[in-house]
Amino acid sequence: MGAQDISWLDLGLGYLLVILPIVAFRYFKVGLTKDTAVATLRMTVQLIFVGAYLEVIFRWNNGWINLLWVIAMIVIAAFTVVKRSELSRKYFLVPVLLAIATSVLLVDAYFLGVVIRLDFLLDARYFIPITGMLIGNCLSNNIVALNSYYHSLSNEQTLYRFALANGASRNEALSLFMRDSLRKALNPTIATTAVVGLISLPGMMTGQILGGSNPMVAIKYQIMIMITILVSTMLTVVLSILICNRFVFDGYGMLKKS
Amino acid sequence: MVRIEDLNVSFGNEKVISNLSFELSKGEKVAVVGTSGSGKTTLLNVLMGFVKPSRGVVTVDGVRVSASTIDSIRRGISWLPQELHLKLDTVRELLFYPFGFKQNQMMQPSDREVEEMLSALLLDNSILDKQLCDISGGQKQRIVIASLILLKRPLLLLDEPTSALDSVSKRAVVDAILGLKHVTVLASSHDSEWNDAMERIVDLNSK
Repeated sequence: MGAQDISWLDLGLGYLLVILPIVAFRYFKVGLTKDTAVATLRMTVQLIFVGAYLEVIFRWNNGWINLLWVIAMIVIAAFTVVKRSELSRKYFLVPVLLAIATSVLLVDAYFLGVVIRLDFLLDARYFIPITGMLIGNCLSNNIVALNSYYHSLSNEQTLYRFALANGASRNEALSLFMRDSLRKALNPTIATTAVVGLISLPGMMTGQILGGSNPMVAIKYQIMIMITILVSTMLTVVLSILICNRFVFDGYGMLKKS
Repeated sequence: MVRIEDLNVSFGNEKVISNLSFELSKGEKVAVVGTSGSGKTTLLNVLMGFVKPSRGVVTVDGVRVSASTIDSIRRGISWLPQELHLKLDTVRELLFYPFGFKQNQMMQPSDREVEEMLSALLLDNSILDKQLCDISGGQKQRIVIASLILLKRPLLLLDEPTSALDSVSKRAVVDAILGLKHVTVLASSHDSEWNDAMERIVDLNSK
């Protein structure tokens, strides 16, 4: 038994809900009316495009194409992280790309190969949506982490220099900032993990249940997804900072000017 | 101990230090003076490798400051910045902050050394248990100075060390600094009392 289909006409009825925030934004003069309309339109076009594309990809189920799709997602994610963190593309793009690719693919390999034990590790039905979910979650956390880390490093130069000048190794001096940014980036994920099921029903579980899965199976998947999100997010954030550190400091331990 | 030869530092098109040359002998206590923006802080930053000169040579203990030598040079220096906001809770944490770094762990001062140092700076040992938010700026400044003296590095760089001190505690800090026979001190200051107490003055405005 699958989820009940939504006709195009009914989908149109669903769009009527968007009128509510638009009216509220106009009433309160928030200035987000156009942004909301554009975002809704973009979301619709993107999802229809992805839906059509995924249908083809699922039908082909070719490992190389699946991998290529995931690599494209990782590249777009890396560009987005660097842009949103307001960091220099020159120094940060490659390290961030390496960090996201390493952590997401490692966690993917463990989950799909060891836990689910897929015969075909790059199976489009599992590999693409699960990687997408991991990347999506890593994205916002990584933006928070890099933003907080490098902006506080550049705003609190004296703190870093004081440590460096009075006996701290470069790693010790940087660890103060790393600790703070890890807390800021990972706290929301840990909080979400702690309350899942109580105040929020995650999208994946809901989707599986609507798709006709046994709720117990859906829950098991959801548990694994929460764990993989937590681990891949932590890995991405730590690796991003550690790899970036190798490129963005000069020989004196000072942040390069970008 | 320190040799500065034809030092020039620019930030973009703005020249901050021009053709500065001087030497510091071992154990000497020198004040760097000059109007705001004359390059006092920049000079200390050059010695620490935080700012790179556009021209000139800086050597510490015969070793030229460069990317390959800066780590070992920094191991022989203590540096007091003009302003410091460490995210710490207690005075004890502030005093022992540098001793938490691996390199300084062997240098942990004894209780007696700490007590003597605090007393020399007119601070009572009980201050260690106070919260940082409960002590004055002057007390905090003296705690950091105490901490750096206890590190026993051969070169001490102080950036406005008396900015938050009253004249009595200033005198105590001066006496403590002058009493460090084997430590070379280079301090930038606007404070005439402090500058008069130092053995020599380098005036950046006279360049």
